Amino acid sequence: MFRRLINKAKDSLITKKQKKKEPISKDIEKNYERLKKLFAKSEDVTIRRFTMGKGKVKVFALFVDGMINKKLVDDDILKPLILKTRSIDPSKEKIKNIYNWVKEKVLTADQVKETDDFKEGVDAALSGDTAIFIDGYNRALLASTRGWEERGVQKPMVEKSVRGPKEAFTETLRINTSLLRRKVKDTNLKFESMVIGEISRTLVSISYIGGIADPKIVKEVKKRLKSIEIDGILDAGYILELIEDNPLSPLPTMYRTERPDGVASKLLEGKVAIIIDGSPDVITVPTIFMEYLIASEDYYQNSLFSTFTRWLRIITFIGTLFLPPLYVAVISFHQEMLPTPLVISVAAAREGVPFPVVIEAILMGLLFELLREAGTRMPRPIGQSVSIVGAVIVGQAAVEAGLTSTPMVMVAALTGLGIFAVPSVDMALALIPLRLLLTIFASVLGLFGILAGQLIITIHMASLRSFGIPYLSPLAPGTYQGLKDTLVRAPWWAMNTRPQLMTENEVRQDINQQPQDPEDDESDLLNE
Amino acid sequence: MKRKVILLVIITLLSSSISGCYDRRPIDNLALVAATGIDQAKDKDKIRLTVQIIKPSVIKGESGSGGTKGQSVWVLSTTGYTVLEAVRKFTEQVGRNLFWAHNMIIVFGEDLARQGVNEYIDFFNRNPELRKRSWILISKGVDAKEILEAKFDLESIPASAIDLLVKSEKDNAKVRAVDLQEFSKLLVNPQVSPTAARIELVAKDDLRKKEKKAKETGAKEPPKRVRANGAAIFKEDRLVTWFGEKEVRGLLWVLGEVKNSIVVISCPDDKDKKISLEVTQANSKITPRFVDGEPVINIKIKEEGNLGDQMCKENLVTLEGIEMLERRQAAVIRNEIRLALKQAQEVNSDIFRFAQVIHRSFPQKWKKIKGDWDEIFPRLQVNVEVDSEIRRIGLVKRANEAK
Repeated sequence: MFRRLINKAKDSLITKKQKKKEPISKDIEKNYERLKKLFAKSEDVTIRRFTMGKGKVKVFALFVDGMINKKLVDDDILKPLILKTRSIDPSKEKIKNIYNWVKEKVLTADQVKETDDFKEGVDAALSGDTAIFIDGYNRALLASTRGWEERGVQKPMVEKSVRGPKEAFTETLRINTSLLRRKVKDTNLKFESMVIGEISRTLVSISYIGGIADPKIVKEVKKRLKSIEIDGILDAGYILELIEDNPLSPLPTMYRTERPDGVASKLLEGKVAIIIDGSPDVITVPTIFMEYLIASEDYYQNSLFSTFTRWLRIITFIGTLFLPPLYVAVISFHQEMLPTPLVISVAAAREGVPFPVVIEAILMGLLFELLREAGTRMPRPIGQSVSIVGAVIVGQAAVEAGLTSTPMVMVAALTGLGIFAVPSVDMALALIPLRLLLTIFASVLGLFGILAGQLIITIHMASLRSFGIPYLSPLAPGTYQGLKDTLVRAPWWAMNTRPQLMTENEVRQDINQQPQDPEDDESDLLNE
Repeated sequence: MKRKVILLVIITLLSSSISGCYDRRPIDNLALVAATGIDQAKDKDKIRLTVQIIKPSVIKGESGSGGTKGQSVWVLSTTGYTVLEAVRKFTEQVGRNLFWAHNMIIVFGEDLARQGVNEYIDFFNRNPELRKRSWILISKGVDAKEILEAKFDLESIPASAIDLLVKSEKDNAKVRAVDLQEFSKLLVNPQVSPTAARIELVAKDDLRKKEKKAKETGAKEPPKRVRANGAAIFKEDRLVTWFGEKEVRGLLWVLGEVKNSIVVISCPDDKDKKISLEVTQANSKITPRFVDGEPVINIKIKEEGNLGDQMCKENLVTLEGIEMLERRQAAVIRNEIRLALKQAQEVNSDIFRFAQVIHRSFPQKWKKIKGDWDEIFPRLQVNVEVDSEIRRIGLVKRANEAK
């Protein structure tokens, strides 16, 4: 219903914009005038005019101040072009094609591309390159001189870990790709880029490992990205919402992370990464549900301990989803399920509370979300005091004022704590509406309601797909092989295959990798 | 398709709100019943139902700031022809719904128990809220109401104190503890007779006097103390006799329910001095056989125990000494069983469930004698064999001699 409305709105608004090639004029003055007009009132755009070769050839360079590395432009472009050619007369030296001469002999910049599209030259300049226009040629040279103030590679802020690499993606696409390249030094690691956003012209890079990633999924990712028509992409979240399989589901179906090691491991499994310039989050697809309960640290710890923490997370996930509904159901329907001392203390705590337990549960849940939201938005020094004030005010005062009961505060606190045990923020947020649904069901029909609600959620999860891959795989549809990295974290020497559904090359490594006892070689002993 | 799915979701969501809060009973609208007592009312046809309702707020206050804010339970009674009628009358006084799931004990007054309890136990079996694990207790000499009014210093809820009392005395083989489930099962079988725990006020005459005195002087009432021991023996659903401490252990030996108990025997030389033996394990095997068409029951008790303490000074830790101890212990046990058997046969109530054993072993023959079981049981021949063993003698061989 909503989707149809949205589609209708889309159809009426969209006017197809065709990209037309705009040729560069041979006359440098024409190009200059055109650029002047284009960049009127843009004071950061610089057009440097000069002449080459004894003042015979008119040249200008176009770049955007602040987007370029000044030293590069000075040393590798302006200096060679002006100084080196000062004493050379092109006609005397029998240089027929000045353009090629400049490109091959004069410019010392490391990357030089050329274009005959005026628009492309402008775009390149806007992304930090320097465009060089030479009189008499309908082509422009694009020298890579990008360099701007950027945040360095820092520790992960959200997905922290004790063991494992401690670097995180930053806002610069090139740094992000380099972080991946440093981990996967293989010729098959591909980065294919495209520009998305009519106005923002954001660079988006699709990364995968050829020979491992399923070409069908790569193709699908490209298709979906190409179909995006939007004015601007400012973060990975835009892309996420625009190409998700089930945009109306509360559950996330595209994984995003700020950890390069996580992305590298997913690339090695055959997944496709989408890197967006300007966003410190990298999206990987296809995504299955279990990924949200796996922290990358799982793979760096002892496999037994990782299995334990994984189960802890699974139980916490279920607990934080079901605890408030269960409390509501038991308190309002199934008091006989509680042991007598517990029922007495709960009844005592409930004495004098004005609201029904379901209202209490929802209010406490909202209050907790409020505290969490306030805590994230607060400047750091204030944030801490807010959390203390929140705990004291809400916990102590609300109980003493008779607005809520102590067990309810405990349930809300436990639930809130449980959320942080889910490694992915996206999944933790998805729990909130699901829990609300279950709580309402529980208040209406008790345990039966919880069962019904849980059934709805399970059916919904089973019906979800992420780029064609069932969301609940490898649990449903279940594969024995898939369990080695789902319910347990098998030791690395036992992880011989990649996830079956999303790769075209299932074999990851040789079998029999288990460490063996050193063989007793008697002759060695004798020789000593 | 999409429209259908959305429609389905909307229908599901809406239908959940149509039902309202079906069957909802918020915990703060409940009166938790901890104990129930049933007595004969003054009006002969009616019963008087007494309930002990927990006051959660008082218990909360006690655990919090200390100092008593009055009683932690509320004991009140109504009368009625049937149990349910009496139960419903509580709403006049309470204002909340009685909630039975946490009922721990059901006490029947002696007068009522002698007339039969079958008609009154039906409510408790039929009510789905009730757990079948409530203890069935029969109050000796006093009304059930008085038992429910007793106070305990350690537990804030008297019913749970009695519950603990019954459990611990059961482990010590001093009381025949029967819960609602077992009691009802025994009640259904026409040949075997049910038993239940006996509960009484301690030194009630003494306490009564004090109470009177206290009322006269206006002082605080002295607390009534309660003890659970022995057993109430039924014939069909009517109370017929009481078992004391000795007889009840005799019954428990046969049923194989003695877990931990002390058997006291006298020293070989000095009758005044005693030896106590600790029972650690006991089981019984009942084997029926037929001699000339008449059933005969063989009971074999196997018992293991430790030497707990001795008052006499001689060294009993010898082969002969241990054998002597075992012999004497077996004799005590046999004696207790005989006592229980004799009493049960006198009132003709098969509390040992011999009928079930015969039925199981000889289904064909049982059919013939089934109708005559009431005549057979009082003169039933029962052979008791006790095999007693002393396993451990403790850290010393002989008791220290006083200098």
